[in-house]
This record gives sequence, structure tokens and C-alpha cells, in this order.
Amino acid sequence: MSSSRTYKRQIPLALTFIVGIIVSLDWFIKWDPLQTFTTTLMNFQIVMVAFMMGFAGVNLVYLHSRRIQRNMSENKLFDALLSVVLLACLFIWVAVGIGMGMNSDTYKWLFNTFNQSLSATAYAATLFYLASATYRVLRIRSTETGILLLVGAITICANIPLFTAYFPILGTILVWISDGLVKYSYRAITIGVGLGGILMGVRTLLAMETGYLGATEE
Amino acid sequence: MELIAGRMLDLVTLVALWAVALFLIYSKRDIWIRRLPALDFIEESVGRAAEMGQPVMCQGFGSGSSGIQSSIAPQIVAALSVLGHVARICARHGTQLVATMASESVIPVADEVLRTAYRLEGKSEEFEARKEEMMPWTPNQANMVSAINALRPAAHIIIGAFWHESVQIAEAASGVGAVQIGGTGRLYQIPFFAAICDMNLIGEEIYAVGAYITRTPQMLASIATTDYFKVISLVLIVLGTILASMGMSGSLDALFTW
Amino acid sequence: MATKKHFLENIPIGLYFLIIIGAMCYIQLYPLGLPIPVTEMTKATYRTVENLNEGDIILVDQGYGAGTIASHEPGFVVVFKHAMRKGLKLVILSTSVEGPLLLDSALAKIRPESRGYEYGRDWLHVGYVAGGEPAYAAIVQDFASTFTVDYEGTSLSGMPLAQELIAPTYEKIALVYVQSAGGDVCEGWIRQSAVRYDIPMIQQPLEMMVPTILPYFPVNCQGILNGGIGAAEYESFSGLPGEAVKLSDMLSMGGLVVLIFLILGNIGWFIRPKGGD
Repeated sequence: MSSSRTYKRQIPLALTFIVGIIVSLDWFIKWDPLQTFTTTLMNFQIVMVAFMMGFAGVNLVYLHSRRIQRNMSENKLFDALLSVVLLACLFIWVAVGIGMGMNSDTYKWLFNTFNQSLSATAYAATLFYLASATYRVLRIRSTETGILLLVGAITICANIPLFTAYFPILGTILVWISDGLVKYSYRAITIGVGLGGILMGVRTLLAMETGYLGATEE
Repeated sequence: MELIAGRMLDLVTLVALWAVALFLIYSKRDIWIRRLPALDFIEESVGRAAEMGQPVMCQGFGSGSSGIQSSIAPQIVAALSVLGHVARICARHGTQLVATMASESVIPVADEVLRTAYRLEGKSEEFEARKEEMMPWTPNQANMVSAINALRPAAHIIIGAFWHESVQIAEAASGVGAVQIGGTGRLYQIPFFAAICDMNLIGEEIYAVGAYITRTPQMLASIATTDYFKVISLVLIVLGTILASMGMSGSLDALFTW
Repeated sequence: MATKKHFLENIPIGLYFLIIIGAMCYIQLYPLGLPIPVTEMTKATYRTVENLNEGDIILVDQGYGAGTIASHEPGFVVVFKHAMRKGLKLVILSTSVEGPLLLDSALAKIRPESRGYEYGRDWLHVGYVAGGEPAYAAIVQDFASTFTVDYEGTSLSGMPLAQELIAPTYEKIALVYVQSAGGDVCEGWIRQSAVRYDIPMIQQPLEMMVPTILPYFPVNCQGILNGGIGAAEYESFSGLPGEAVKLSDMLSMGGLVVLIFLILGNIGWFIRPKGGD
């Protein structure tokens, strides 16, 4: 148990502290060995992130395999079929990418025909959700919501060339709202969020915040 | 080896921050933290989900290609604190919990958080039986929205870092009738959550989650440190405004760049 | 007790969506050709590129995906064309997995070879870089340590442009141009290049992300293109027309429909008898 605790908690905590201090010092001190070491650490991290993607792919396969199994046993054939399609697409993409290369015509055809079209469609759905939220939520129920509605309406109008071409004052009002209100309130929130982030870092380095290790023991 | 010019103030500020934080942490003072209604509402919303027999959904674990290795790590850690708390309540009530993982780097961490939470409630077998379904990988908004529409959660807890998917997922959850608790440090998403969600945490309130839930002196002390430095920032902003208004930009530079 | 919603507050969402789609399809078939007013932010972006000298290197993060191609690709194309007009060099990388796969589509519109631009000498594509903000820091500090081959797998050691970026890379880059759907990437580049090394920067986030970059303008970020609208403005201002100009009419129509329904919803709310909600 104690050796498990050592490698699951003590070693990661010690590593976090050492690496955190070194990377923090790199911001303040100009010293070639330190900079080289930090750059190397960052390159390590790039590689680790790339591996994590593979890990997520494995998770996806496992998840959907179990779903297929469960849905077949519960006679939910359509749900099972969706998972089959997902896994089939995953394997085809990987096979074509590895076998023919990502620069091959086949891979590019697959990407342009399926991925690009579907991604753009899914992303375009944002407009509909935004429109639905705007229509449903923005009502003049109180002073605050009235102001929210007014600013929202001005922002919509000022971002539409149809209005700004004939009413340039909207652009001026939007600049005033952006530069006079939004920018400075966002800076204030940024200061608060930044301080909160730094303190989270302090807690992490001092082993008081161990959420990143996964354990939330009392 | 030399100190980089113009960063002495940053170093002094960081050291001062550490010093104040450590002083407050080890002095074990009794620190009061105000009520955060959004966090109090979590238990109520999980209870609602239990009554309706529908799942609880948590989102906010990463955003696009940004995961626990990125600058949004503090927000993800805050989200994981919430997840641990929600997981314990769900395990206690026997409510299904689904935590969608937007970033693959968070999956192993969330796995450990959930495993611990369920173990503490004596429900380890339940976790082992359903763990893959509890943490689906949803790297983009289409996956998140389809998960919401498929699962139809009764409670939707979206605390963490979000990009433009915030509107989609909040509106989709609204469409299926979920009660929503939203919170993010991403400034430009706060208005969307404020408009759509039932309860909100704004900006750095999400970093107070761990302190609010555990109430340990160390966590409360670090929240207090943040507040003290906010006051100091305010004083410096006022001072800088006065100096700039008086045309003393030279003094301003001397004050803030060394 | 909740009062019944007025019809104007309760227009079926499906109908609403159909009207939006219909309006945008109509305008695509019969464009209005409205003038495009150019904002100060776009002019500042243009001036930042215009003030560079021939031979200066722009580091481009082509960090958009298939979902946001309609907004970002026109911006990439017009800035690339502007850079070619000035004789600037471009090093293209991508923080989006899909970015490299979308570059062909953009290059087909740019046609660098038509301007005598040679790959490896005048422009370079190194592909996707994982790792987030630490990756940006590594690239800006020492480009060669992060990239040894280009996107096609060709060694960079034989490419003159790559040799110009040997450490310290931040002294060799004249401008960083970031395109991303996410504010996190935009802010990361600001922290790691603009704040750390004072490298000039222009950005093209999505329209809804602009408020988060606004606090950095113009001190850390010298220019911001407001998504697809910004790209349309840049095309108009620079005299390099492209696809974004055609999009502006559709943007107008979509926004107009949203505005009309917003007003209708509020009229319905005012009309219905109060007493509950």
C-alpha cells in the first residue's frame, strides 16, 4: 500500500513541484541551460499529448464495443448500428491514413466529402441554437434583462453590414460599448480569473490541490 | 544568468502572493466564505434527477484541443472538484452520472476522481460496471449535443472551460428540460450561461468550488489571498488612473515596469 | 399561476429555423451587393501587415477546422495575398488537427506560384503541432527543436526559410498571425509571443470570440479581424476581393431574421396579460 501511495501520489507531487518551479523561473531568468531544459520539457509534453489522442481512440473503441453488445442484447438495433458505423468510420480512417498516408488522394477525398461537410454542418447548427436561445431568453422582464436585450440588439445590428452601411452610428455605438464597457469589465474579470488561476497553481505546487491526480479523498 | 528586464514586478508580486498564501494557510485562521447558491443547488438538482429517473450530466472537462496540459487546467481542476462532489451525491442516491470528456487528457484523471468518489460511497462495483459509459469522449460540440439529446438529463452541470459550444449545449439541455448550473472562467461565455442557466458561477467563483465543498483551512486561505490581491489590484488601478490622468506617464512606467 | 404565452412568444422553433434557412438561401441566389463599412480594427490589421518590410517573416497559425472554414479561410487567403504583394515570407503551422488538410483548398485560391513564390524559400508548411501553449512557447523560442520536417515529411535542413528561423526564433519573426475558433489558442499565442517577446500580432478569432481578445487590442494584439465579417472588410479595404464579400449579404439576412423574431417575442410578452410567468 505504501509503495502504491509513493508512486501514485508522492512522486507525481514532487515532480509537479520541481517542474512547476523550473518553468516558473524560466519566465524571470535568462539563462541558456534553463531555457533549453524548459524547451525540452515542452517538447516532451507535445509528444505526450499526441499519445493521449491515441488513448482516447482506444477509449472510444471500448465504449462503443460495449454499447453494441448491450444494445444488441436489449434489442436496440438502431442504437447498435450507430455505434457500428462510428467504429467502421474510425477504422477506415485509420487504415487509409496509415496505409495510404494523410496526403493521399483517398484520404483527402474522405476528409473533404465526409468530415468537412459534416463538421461545417454541425458547426453551422450554432446559429440555430443561438437564434433559439435569443428568441426564448431575451425578454424585457426587468431593468437588467432590458439592458441585456438592448445591448444584444445593438450588437446584432452593428455586426450586420445591411444596417451599418446605412446607419454608421451603430458602429460608433458598438465601439463605445466594446471599448468603454466590455473591454474594461472583461479586464477586471480577467484579473480575478488570473489571480484565481495563480492561486490554483500555488495550491497545486504545494500539494494542496490534488484534483489533477484524480483523488478526492477526505 | 540574469533577470529579464521588466519582470521584477512580476517576480515580486508572485513571491508576495506565495508569502501571503502560505501565511494564511499555516496560520489556520478562521476564514468565512460567502454562500454560493449555485453549489448549494447541486444536491437539489441531483435529487430532482433521482426522482425523475433521469441521469445527471456534467460537462466542462477540456475544450477542443485544450486539456489538462493547457492554460485552462485550473478550470478543469475546478470542474473535477465539482465532478467528485456530484459523483458522491449521485452514488448515494443511485442516480446515473455521465461526465462527457471534451479533452482526452482528462479521461484518466476523471476516471480516478469517479473511482474514488464511488469507493467512498461503497459503490465500487456500480462504477466498474458502467465506467466507460460514464466518461464518453466528446471532442466537439456535435458530440456533446447528441449526448444531451440521447440521454435527456434532468440535471446539467456545466462548470469548467467552454468555447462556442457553451450556447449549443446549454440550449440543447434547456430543450430537454434539464435544470442547469453553469460556471466558467471564459469571459465571453459567461453571458450565455447567465442568460440560459438556472444558476451560475461567474469567473473566479469556480476556483472557490474546492474550498466551498471541502471547507479546509488551506483552501479557504487561498481564496482569501485572491481577494486580498484583488483589493491591491484595485488600489493600483486607481493609482494608475490618477497618475495617467495627471499626465505622469513617466511615473506610471517607473511604478509598473521594473 | 402561469399565464398562457402569446402566439408571438411561442412561434414553433421549426418554423423559425425554416425561415432563417429560406432567407439565407434567397439572398444567396439574389445577393444585395451591400457596401461593407470597414472598422478601425480591420484597418489596424491591414496597417500592421502593410508596415512590414520585404523579406520579413510572418508565423501563421492556420488553426481552424472544417466547421469554421467559411469564416477563416477567406481571412487566410486575403492576408496571404497581401503578404505576397508586400514580398513577405510565411511559415504556416496549425494548432488544429484539421488545419493542414484544409490548406490545399486555400492554396488553390492563393496560387503562390503565380506570384513567383517558391516553397521552402518564400513560404513553408510544417503541419499540425500538438501540445497547446507549451508548444507555442517552444516554437517561438526555438523553431528547429519543434520542427525538423515539413508537413510532407521533407527535411527542413535544406530549406532556406527554415534556416532563417534558428534560435532565438523570436528575433526572426516579424509578425504572428493567429486564426482560431477558440479564445484559448488566441490568448495562448498572446502570452507566449506578444507578451513574452513583444512580437507584433494580428488575430482572426470567430465573431463571438472577439470580445475576449478585445482587452489585448491594440497593446498586445495590433489587429483583430472580426471573423468572416472582418475578412470581408479586409478584402474590401485591401482591394483583394474574395469569398468573404459574398458572405456578408448572408450574414445580413441571418441577423435580420434573428432581430425580427427577437422583436416579435418581446411584443408577444408585452401583449399577454401579466400575473405569472
